[in-house]
Order: sequence, then C-alpha cells, then structure tokens
Amino acid sequence: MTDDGHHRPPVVPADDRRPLFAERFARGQVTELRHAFAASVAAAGLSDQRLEDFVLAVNELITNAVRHGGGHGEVRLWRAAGTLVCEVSDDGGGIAQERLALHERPAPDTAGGWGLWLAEQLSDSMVVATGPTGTTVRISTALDGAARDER
Amino acid sequence: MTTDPAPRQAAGGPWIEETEVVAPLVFTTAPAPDALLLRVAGELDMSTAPEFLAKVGDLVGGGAVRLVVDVSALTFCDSAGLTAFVRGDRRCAEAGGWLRLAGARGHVARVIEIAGVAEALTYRPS
Repeated sequence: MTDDGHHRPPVVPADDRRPLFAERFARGQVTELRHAFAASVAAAGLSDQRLEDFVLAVNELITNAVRHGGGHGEVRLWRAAGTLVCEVSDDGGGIAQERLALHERPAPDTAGGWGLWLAEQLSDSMVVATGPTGTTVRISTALDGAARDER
Repeated sequence: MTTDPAPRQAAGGPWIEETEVVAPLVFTTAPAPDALLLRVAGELDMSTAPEFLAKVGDLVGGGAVRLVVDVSALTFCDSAGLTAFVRGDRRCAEAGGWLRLAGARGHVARVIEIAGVAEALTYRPS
C-alpha cells in the first residue's frame, strides 16, 4: 500500500479481480465512504437485508481500521463466482490473537467489542490476516443468497 | 426484515474528499410519563456517536436522568452506536436513572437485536 497522499487508480490484480469499488480512506471519512460503498454494492445487485448487512459489516471493518489500524486504510470490492468479496486493509499494529479467538457475542454491558463480531455475523465468510505490519480482513456475501436468519 | 431503504446516496465521485461533512444527528425532546423522550434522527456511527453521548450528558446534567430514546428515525446504527447506547445508559445510571430504547425498526432493530442490546435496553413501560 502506498501512503504518499496520492489517489492512484487501482491496480488490476493478475487474477482479474477487477474491483467494483476501490478506495483509500482516512479518519473522518467513514460515513461518506459507507454511502459510496453502499451505492456500489447496490449497483452490483445486492439488495434489501443482504445489502444492509454487508454495508454494516464493511462499515465495521473500516471503523476498526480507522480506530485501531493506524487511522487509514484501503477498501476493495470485487465479484467472484456469485459472491461479492470485500477486503479492508490497514497498516496498523495488528489485532491481538486473544481478540480474534473470541467468537462469543460480547456482553451487552461491555460497551464495545461488537465491531468484528458483527462483521462476521452479517457476512457469509470472514478471513482475517493480521500481523505487526497490518491487517487485512476479507468478507463475502452471496449475490443470490436468501435473507440471513437472525443469530 | 426491513422495508426502509439503506442510506445509499452516492458520494458523487470515485475519490473521497479529504474532509467529510457529516450530517449531524437531529434531536428533539418531549416529556413522557416519568421520563424524557429523546428522539434521534440521522445515522449513528463513529462520526456521530460522540454527539449522541454529549446530548445524553447535557440532559443528565440538566436533571433528566431517565431517557426513553426514540430511534425510529435512525436510518443507520453500527457498533459505535450500540456502544453509545450502553455508555449513555451508564451515564444515566450513575445519576440514578436509566436509558432505554424505543421504536427501533428496519435494520436498526436487526442490529440492536443481534447484538443483544435490545434485550438489555428496550423500553418496557411498567
């Protein structure tokens, strides 16, 4: 990831994951980015509850990157075999393994900790790659999936 | 299930501007039996959650320690919003009161239910 303040056109990866949305972001841009992302996801064919779930999940990943991941990051969305895949990357100090190991719903009186948990609940798959030089979270949702049950 | 459209106005271009103009939350208050009704309209996320907590702080400081927060006009609520509700309730509890949520619908209802916050903070008139 470059960090020289320039917005570069997204690089098309070799496996032709042509992005439907590619954006770098910083603190203070979460709301606007969410609106733009929602428009892209809607244009890609996601609708109703699945759209709102996916937008919220990605919003949580972006919020995490801004809050804990060094204050800025990058979000990319692409289509792959009937699913929408989104990756949010930052170059922060990484997520502690203890936190990643938590799959229980945070207690309602903990006043926090819902971010990653919600992202996982509201997507079909979530993979986290994290280390001392940054974090990349990849989540996906089926384009023709049924509404997700409340869990 | 949701019938409300998500906030999905386009940002007006592929690149996001450096400074964001976040639409502020809109608050209205009205007396309710044994409490104050606080209606919140807008999108509750990490950009606006501090506004919500500041409002709760002002109301509690002014003696309104029992707050029924009407969230029916919230079009978005994420983990930062959930955290703000829980912190707001704490703030009220420290002053001998409580904060409860009413009117959640659409995706906001879904999120507060999934997270378990509905269970803890839904207003149940006695």
